[in-house]
Amino acid sequence: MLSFQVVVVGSGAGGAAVARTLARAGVDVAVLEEGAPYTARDYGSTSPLEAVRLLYRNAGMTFTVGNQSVLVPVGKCVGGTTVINSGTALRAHPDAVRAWKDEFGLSEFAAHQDRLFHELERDLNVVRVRSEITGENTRVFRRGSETLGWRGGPLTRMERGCRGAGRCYLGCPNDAKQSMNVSFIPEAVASGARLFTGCRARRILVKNGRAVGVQTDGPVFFAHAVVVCAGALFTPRLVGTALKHPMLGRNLQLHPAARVIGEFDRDIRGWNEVPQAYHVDEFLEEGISIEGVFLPPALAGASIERFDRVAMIGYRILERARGRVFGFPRSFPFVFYWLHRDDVRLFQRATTLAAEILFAAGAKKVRTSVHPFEEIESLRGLRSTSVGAADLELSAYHAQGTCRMADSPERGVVDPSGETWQIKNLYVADASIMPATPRHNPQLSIMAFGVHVAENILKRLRKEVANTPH
Amino acid sequence: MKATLLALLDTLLERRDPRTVERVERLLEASSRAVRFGFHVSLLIFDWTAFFFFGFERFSTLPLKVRRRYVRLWTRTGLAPMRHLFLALRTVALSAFFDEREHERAVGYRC
Repeated sequence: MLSFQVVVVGSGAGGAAVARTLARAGVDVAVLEEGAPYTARDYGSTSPLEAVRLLYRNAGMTFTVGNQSVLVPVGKCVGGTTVINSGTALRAHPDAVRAWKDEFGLSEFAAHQDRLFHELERDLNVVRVRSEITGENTRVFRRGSETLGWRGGPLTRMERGCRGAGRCYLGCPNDAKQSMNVSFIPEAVASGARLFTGCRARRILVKNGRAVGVQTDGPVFFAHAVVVCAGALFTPRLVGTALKHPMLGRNLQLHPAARVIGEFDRDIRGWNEVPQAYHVDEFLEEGISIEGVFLPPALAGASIERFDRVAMIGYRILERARGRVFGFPRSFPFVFYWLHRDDVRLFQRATTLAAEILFAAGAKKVRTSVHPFEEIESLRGLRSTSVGAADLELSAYHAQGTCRMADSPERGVVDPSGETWQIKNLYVADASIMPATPRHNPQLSIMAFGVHVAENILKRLRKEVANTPH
Repeated sequence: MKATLLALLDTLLERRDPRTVERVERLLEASSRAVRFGFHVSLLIFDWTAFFFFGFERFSTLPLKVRRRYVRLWTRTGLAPMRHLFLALRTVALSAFFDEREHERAVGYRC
């Protein structure tokens, strides 16, 4: 029988932050991770598709269903999606924090968020991208946006000793990107946490209205408290084995995204640098974020004759649409997502802006993800012709909101401390609890929520110990 | 699957590489049953639709010039599901093809 004080399901941004905080405070913690403990030795020099096969759930082929099929790649390995993201680390936008506090009653989190972010930035070495690890792909982006007079600047990332290997999405070959598998998880284990990999959680065990453990494909893990950090697509199903709530699985936001590829008549050689080093935030108020990207030929989604002469830019929108995750037992969740027509218009505008940057920087031709403008030599058609949702080729990397936190049991699945309203000692601490988008890349916000929930669990545990008669 | 994938690559790139099929199979092995099933069905639909519109021949047996016309149809159609089906097949085929270091180098990547 395996018994711990706290069992954490998932080792991504949320789960790792919870496990580290609790383990460092002396709590007996088990971390259950469905994926394997891959290291840079496994993925550092493999081909792109082999890295995808190892690190991504379903070999990267996870989709939504609706008026558009959005590709939503998620990680399945120790460290979760932090292993395959760009490493960009940004605090939640002040408007987002305000919304969390004013609309959802998360005053305690709002009061501590500055400290939480500060400590995370310190512990994960969040730094501005250094110019020596950027290259021509970034310079093209910068030059184009400066020519247009658009506000932007270098991004901040969590890294130590980044050499600009350009493989962020395939796992950092140098362990420079501070993904959870090289940072918080080893720290948690060094503080006494036990990590169980290849361990898929099936059901939360509940007795007399309290969570008492987790049934996995293998052993049962008993615990005083259970923290679910399986990600916005999987948490609803697991939590749904313990309770029913009308908000569970709803309010899914994705930040749908795409890339544009500019073809130049000179060398760019964009692979020898940080792919996501620069961003334009001129249009953030509109809901458009434009950030750098550079993908290898196997992942670029286009057949290009001179890959040494292309530059790429990525972009995403804050959508009006809200999707829904249905958790069917023993299968991949069914994710329904219907893009609003305002989202389509916004996306078309975002595509036009990103393409404009490349043209301003001297691109002769730009490839987009919008039909029928897959290859364009000017913006005329893209600007003047309306397209539909089915004309867009979308992906998304920021699934969130499906188990939202709020100050009332009607509006939230979990309370402001992270505990579910209905089941005692069952907590959630991943992207699913964010009731509104942080607007920026969410991983730092997810970790901040993770630490916040862990600190509340600690307070509860200490109180229970103090109240226990000796 | 092999014949259709190779014919598709030949149409898009005028290259055939049997290693591509192996890479596709390896990728699909790591995906869910639903994705594997969906991919195979999509490939079948793509291959056999030509039979009814292009002289009772499957895509994989058509001459290159006719295959190019057929692919253009799928790329430009106003029917979004048809376009998406082709896009998915093309993306997987190209991804597997360019996953070979030799093909990356041939387009100037990391060389």
